[in-house]
Amino acid sequence: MKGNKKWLNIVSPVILLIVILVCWELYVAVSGIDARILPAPHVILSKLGERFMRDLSGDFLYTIQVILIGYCISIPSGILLAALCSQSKLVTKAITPVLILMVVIPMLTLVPILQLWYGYVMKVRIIVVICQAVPIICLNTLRGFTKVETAKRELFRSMGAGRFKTFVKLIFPNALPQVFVGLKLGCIFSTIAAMSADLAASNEGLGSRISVYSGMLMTDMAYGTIIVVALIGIVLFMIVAYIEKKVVIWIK
Amino acid sequence: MKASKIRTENLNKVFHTRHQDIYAVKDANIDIREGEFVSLIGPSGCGKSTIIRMIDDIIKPTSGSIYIDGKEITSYKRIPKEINQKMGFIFQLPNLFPWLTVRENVGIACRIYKIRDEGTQRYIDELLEMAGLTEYQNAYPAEISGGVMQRIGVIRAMVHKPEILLMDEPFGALDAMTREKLDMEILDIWKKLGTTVIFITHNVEEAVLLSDRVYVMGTNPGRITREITLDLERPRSLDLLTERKFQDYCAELTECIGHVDLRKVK
Repeated sequence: MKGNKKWLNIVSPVILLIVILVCWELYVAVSGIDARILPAPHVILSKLGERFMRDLSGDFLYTIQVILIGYCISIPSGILLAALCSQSKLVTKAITPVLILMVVIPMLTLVPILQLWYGYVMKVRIIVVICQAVPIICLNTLRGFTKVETAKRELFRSMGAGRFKTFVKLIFPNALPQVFVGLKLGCIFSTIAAMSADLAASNEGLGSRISVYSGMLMTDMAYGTIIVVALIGIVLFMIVAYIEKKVVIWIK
Repeated sequence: MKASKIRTENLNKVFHTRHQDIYAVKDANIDIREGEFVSLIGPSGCGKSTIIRMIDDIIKPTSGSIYIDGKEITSYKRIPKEINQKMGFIFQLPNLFPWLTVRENVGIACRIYKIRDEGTQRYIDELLEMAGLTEYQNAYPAEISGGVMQRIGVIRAMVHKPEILLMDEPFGALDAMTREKLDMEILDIWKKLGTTVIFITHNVEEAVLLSDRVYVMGTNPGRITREITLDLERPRSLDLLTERKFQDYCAELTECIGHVDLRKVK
């Protein structure tokens, strides 16, 4: 029974995706809509396959770098910041609304300002990713760090455990499910931030490619690029979710 | 007569709220000798848990003194490790860490106290064996039942060989049958290890079944109202439940707790 359900988890979304693609395909064929407005899925995929290596691979690597470097810096920074803030109730209270504010502000708005300082360099986009990912990671982690059952705290207190030991052996492992909520949102936010930074900075990267292709009425390639971006996000998310499953074994 | 192991002197705990000061514990004086099994009984809110939490330095008393082996501990900010290590605390709920296996949960105190000598692992084996948990030792808490979990909570408090066990209604959340079984196991362990026990309960029969002496507590303010020494033979078994003397003690205790207070008990 359990095996069956697992199988359904994978198959049912795939079937839905196929249904959507078939409907799309049919709609394009029946309505005779201009391919420059809405190309058929098979055209998008074949064009993408044909031109990816030649036209997109450079931008693909560029954007991947921005996302990964930004995300990998954001993880320890977000967690460390949360760990420090959680040591004081006052600081936690003070910083929470600030973090929410930073989550809400689209950080691509920083691009023009940062370019003024640094010029057209990758660093600008990495900073945008970090500014977008750190708050969401920190916010969720902080929630985990500040919510520990009283009885568990009392147990550590009864063993005379100090601040550091309590953090390492109780607060941190206890917060892991929340930490992973932050990390999963963080990788999505990183992808979105890198994309919007590309669009705003517009000379390299998959985001700027989309706007270039649209401008040149190469709609099929614009869609194709969107698919590539989506794949990056999904794969990243799945990797983090896989690690979560291996680490947070007590929540099924 | 054996020496005093735990003694409190005019122990007070006041919780300040916006409108009033609430005496959780008022002028509690208890004196427990080495190796004694003493119960604190009373309705919810009488401060019985608060007393053992103050003894174990989980919370600080507002005023008054606590002596462990004749040493005053309330003046410390955090009590010294060697005194802290004399005590083991058993919680009402199993309070296990879901990310640790049963064995790791049992051994957590050793990791906190940095007890790493060779005998420790063997002692953990022994405790697991004694509680019938050997087969579960590599399982995670999510995979086992409530009664088994509570057993883990009990032996976890013993792994650093404490001289004093403080039990906060350890079996309050279990069904009556499992509770009686575990009560008997506690008596077994107590006899084997010769520890001093303070046992918190709101169950009259459980208190009489287990203890040498019972402190009865009342509410508003939380205070000790009576002290009853139980003249019952040891070793005890569940057969005691049907004996006249046992039932008389139960009746006496119930009387002490008072009808008004009893109705407040869930």
